[in-house]
Amino acid sequence: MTPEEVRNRVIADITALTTVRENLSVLFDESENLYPAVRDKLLEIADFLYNKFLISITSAEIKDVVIYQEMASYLYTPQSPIDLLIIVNDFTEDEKLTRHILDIFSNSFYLRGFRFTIKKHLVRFRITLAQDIDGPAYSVQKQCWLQKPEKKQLSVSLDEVLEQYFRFNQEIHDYIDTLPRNDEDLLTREGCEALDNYLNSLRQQALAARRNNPEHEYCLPYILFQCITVCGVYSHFRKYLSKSHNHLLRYEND
Amino acid sequence: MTDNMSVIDKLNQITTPHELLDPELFNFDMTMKPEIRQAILKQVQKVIDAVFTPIPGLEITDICLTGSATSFFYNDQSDIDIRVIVANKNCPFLSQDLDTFDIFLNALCNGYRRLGNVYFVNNRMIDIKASTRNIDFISLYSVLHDKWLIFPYSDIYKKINKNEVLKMVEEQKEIIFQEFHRIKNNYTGVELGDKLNDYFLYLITRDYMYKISYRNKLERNKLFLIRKLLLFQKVILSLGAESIKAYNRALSLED
Repeated sequence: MTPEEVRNRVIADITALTTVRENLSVLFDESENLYPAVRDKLLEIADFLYNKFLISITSAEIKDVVIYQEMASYLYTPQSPIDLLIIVNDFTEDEKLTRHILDIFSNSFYLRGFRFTIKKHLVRFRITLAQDIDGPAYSVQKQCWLQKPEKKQLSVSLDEVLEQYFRFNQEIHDYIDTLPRNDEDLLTREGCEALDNYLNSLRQQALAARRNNPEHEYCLPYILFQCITVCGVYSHFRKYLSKSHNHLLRYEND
Repeated sequence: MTDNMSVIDKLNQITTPHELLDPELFNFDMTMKPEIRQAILKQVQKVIDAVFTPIPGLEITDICLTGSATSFFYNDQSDIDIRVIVANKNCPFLSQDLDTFDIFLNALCNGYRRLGNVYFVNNRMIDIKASTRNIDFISLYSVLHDKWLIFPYSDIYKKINKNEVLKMVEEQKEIIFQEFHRIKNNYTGVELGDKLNDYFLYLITRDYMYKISYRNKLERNKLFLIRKLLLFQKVILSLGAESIKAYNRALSLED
């Protein structure tokens, strides 16, 4: 792709991302309830994950199945994934330990090649605790909104979003250029740690903005984070971190 | 699919022993090189500390080197296959059933690797898995206790009739093919995925290995080779892929 084509692609992606939709996504009917067929399929997926993975944990129970993020809001695109949270109890009675197990478990699904789609939207699932829900969310099990999405306009124009995105993107690249590297242009151990912390903090700041800013999912810091995700900047640097990390593990002698 | 000629090549390759065990891992006297043992234990300990230690009631009873790296039939690119044997002594929230507990161990190891935690010794990847038990019968080395659990021999395939093995591979392929179609014709939805997955697991893992481990030595070595050739021809792996496809179809919804 030429730089011009890349730029046009970015503009198209961000335009789609910042378009406030007239209606909720294809998962919901006109009364803003989940279509029964969609509900059945999502519950079937939750059961499947329970039977395949959680069955080994005798005290684990599914407390709820929740749709959240873009597909539970008016800011979605034809490419938005369905973020599905499988909410379980604190089965170890030690939240830190439960999270430790769930974080590792959630990652093991994707190695198997599972790829479920509902009306052409990829289902991205995560097993987690109830405390992790914030922002608009729909309970599939209870068939009700835990928090209904608001429909409003972005307080900034598309041109401003684009301008801010290009600036934000440059800032990220500038920061990452300062990190220590080895001869193969991969990050050193300190570089890996710094990049990991930086990427995590970008995500945390965006989620905090969505939670605390009166504009919630319409606020600029959250939108900008969504932009770098949709445009592949975030995943590009995650892959770079992973490559650097693997290189360290392969060649370090400590 | 590989052609018949390359299957013969593969059979010759996997039944031709080296004179010595892998010299990167073992000494002439078949003891493990101390520096390699220490390096493996150090890397495995990182996984144990990160994954298993936080979970109460789990006990690591052994750390074993498995696979072709413990035999005279290794190849230079072989991964270092490590199996951590874990016992559920008294974990209050985990199943005591061994098969179910294995699901947990498998999911933990896969998930941890997916997080980017891949380890190496001498620039060779260590593939670390965890299980409740060993299933090997050709050769097996306890890295933790620094001793052979199953001593390797270089002449185990000497009396094997290779033509017979190749014929049996073709017969097994036909049996698998027929079973695959029987399952496909009798089940739908998630159940189809489950049945294909069960059959895939039966062929690739524990049940099949247990079944053949009870045979006499010559016969079990032959069955082990047949399984290796079926794996080489991707016959078994294609079943796994079919089960994933069935799940993906069953758990998706079109417009």
